[in-house]
Amino acid sequence: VYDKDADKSVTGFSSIKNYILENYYPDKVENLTGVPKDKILETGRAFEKAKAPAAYFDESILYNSNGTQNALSIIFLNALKGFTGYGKVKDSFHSSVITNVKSSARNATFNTFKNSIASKNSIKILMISGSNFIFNNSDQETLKKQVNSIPFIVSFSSFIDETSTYAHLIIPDHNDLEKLDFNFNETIGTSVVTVQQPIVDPFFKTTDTGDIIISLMKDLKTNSEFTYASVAEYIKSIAKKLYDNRNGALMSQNKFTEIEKGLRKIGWQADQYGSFDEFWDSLLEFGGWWDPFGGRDPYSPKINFKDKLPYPITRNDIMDKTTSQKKLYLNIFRKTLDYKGSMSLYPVLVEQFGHNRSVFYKLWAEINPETARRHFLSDRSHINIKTSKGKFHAVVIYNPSVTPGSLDVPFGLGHDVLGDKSGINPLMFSENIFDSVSGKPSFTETPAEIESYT
Amino acid sequence: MALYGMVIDLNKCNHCESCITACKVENNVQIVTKENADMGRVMQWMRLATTSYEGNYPDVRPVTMPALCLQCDDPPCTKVCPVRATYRRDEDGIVAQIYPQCIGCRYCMTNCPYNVKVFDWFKEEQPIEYKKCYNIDVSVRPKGVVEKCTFCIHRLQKAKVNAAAEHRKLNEDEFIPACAQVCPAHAITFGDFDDSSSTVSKVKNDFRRFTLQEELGTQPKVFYLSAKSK
Repeated sequence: VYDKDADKSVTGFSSIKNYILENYYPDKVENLTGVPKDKILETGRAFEKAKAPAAYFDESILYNSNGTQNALSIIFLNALKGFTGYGKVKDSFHSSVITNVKSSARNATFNTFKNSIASKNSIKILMISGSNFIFNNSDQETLKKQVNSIPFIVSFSSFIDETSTYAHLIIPDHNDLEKLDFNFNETIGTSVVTVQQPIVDPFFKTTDTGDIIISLMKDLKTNSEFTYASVAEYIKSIAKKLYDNRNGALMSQNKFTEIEKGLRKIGWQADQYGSFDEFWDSLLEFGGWWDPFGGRDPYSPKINFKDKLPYPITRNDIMDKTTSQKKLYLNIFRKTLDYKGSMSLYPVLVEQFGHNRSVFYKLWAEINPETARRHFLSDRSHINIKTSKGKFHAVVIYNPSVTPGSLDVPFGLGHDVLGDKSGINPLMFSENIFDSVSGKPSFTETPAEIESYT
Repeated sequence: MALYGMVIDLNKCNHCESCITACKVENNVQIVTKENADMGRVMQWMRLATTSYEGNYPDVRPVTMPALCLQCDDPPCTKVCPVRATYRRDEDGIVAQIYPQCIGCRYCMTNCPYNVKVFDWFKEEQPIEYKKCYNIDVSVRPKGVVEKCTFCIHRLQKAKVNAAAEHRKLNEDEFIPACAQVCPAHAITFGDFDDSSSTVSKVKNDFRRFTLQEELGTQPKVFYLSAKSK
């Protein structure tokens, strides 16, 4: 069931429709995913009947050899309903602030970088900020060799991590609790700006990476339109634009009454601040700003699937994995607050990386109780997980929400550069399987076996 | 007289664990070594507990809740303390701990049906970053004593002193524990149950209200709200 205008926004619509109907009918998808077909049909119908449905995905689905295809399939699902759940923000605030981003930078993926370092001498200087790509990859040895051949590496990491150890110069950035930053989001059709504000003064002599770049621009005398003296000044200038626009509201302001909404629509203001300084203080206090009253244009992106159908790489050993009685697969997951995989480096958070008061500082494997019983494993027992790259120790934790046949292990432990290794980085034992488009490592496709722990 | 209590809306809680971090930092709760963690000695005054799982695969939801001292109005822990190091304060209902008085017998831990008290086994060297975070309003406990959530009682003392200096009554929003203050989902409401006009008293009357092991008659002052799980 799809929108009658779906073929207008999607080039190659009929071929992809036929492809899905032929290859991914409910019975087969039930086999592949373990989700009952009735549930799939029920969800599909609910999506179809909804007035303005929107399907979202998060980063986790990208860590797969079909990662980009996974994302495309969600986008295609939205296209079936003409993206009615989305909207394009009128007079986009984001585009008025962020300008001149080169298209080459926009389209760059980790693959672009990997290809660059693979061809020797193509990178003269590497500046690393907000990334620990050696730790975050399965093929770590190759990356280490390639990075080692780069003549000059500057790292802005707040910590000594697996990647920054290869740097010739480390200029540590403030950590997230010490730093002022703005984040923009317009994907839900509404402008949202969230403020990350420093809650403590920097503990050490660290510098905001943005300030380093600004001073570098000054030293190099680049002819840039960016004339701000510091990141803080730049961020305040964005806040000034928000204030001058007089649109939207602070995040935690009370809900507006219908009368207030009506007054706003005809140009009245019902703000709780009288000056920019007051607005700035309130913005920091409430943590963000959004524009629930902003107008939205219909969103109908043109998608071209012609000649590049989202054709998944079908691996026979992965097919039907959920119904298999014997085969097990590693499924590396990230904790909610730890997409960067660095949580266990923070002293205050290190114990929060544990599992429900019984397993700390070591790796655990969440297993569906039925799968565990099939392998004679009791809750909290110790096992070795063996892959083609070796074996590692983990504590079994029963979790009925885990896919049968899956060994769910957390990502983020096993940082060993400071000499105190807690837990294991499961990516070191994960097969070198990557998404061919993005270059991201697969977190889900490594066959594994269980051995007794001695 | 006041009767401080808390209501945690589990339908709003997104399990971000901000409350747990805030509690740890606010109260100088020590970080233990790997060896001690292996022996179950991790110290958290507040933790995220997975109590059960609802439904059948694949429609399974873990039922999790922030677990802390429930500040019982009829606390079983105080009754067994041989030296009265833990007691219920008459003026505000908070179950307090007197650390210098505690002899470390751990009877109170045994008698707590909610498993929310922790024991200071060792004094361990803390990371330098953590030491710099120490809250000077909270004493660092010696080894060999039992610790638990105090509803950030030091904040109450401070607020009371400020109010007294200004010859006025304590306002509702002047005293709030660190966990409730940082909750980004506003899932934790804190206040005086004795004041019927307070926000917490109103929230407490929600039909989704339940508390833990009500049948024991401990009369907890921490309530949970959940449309599904009880």
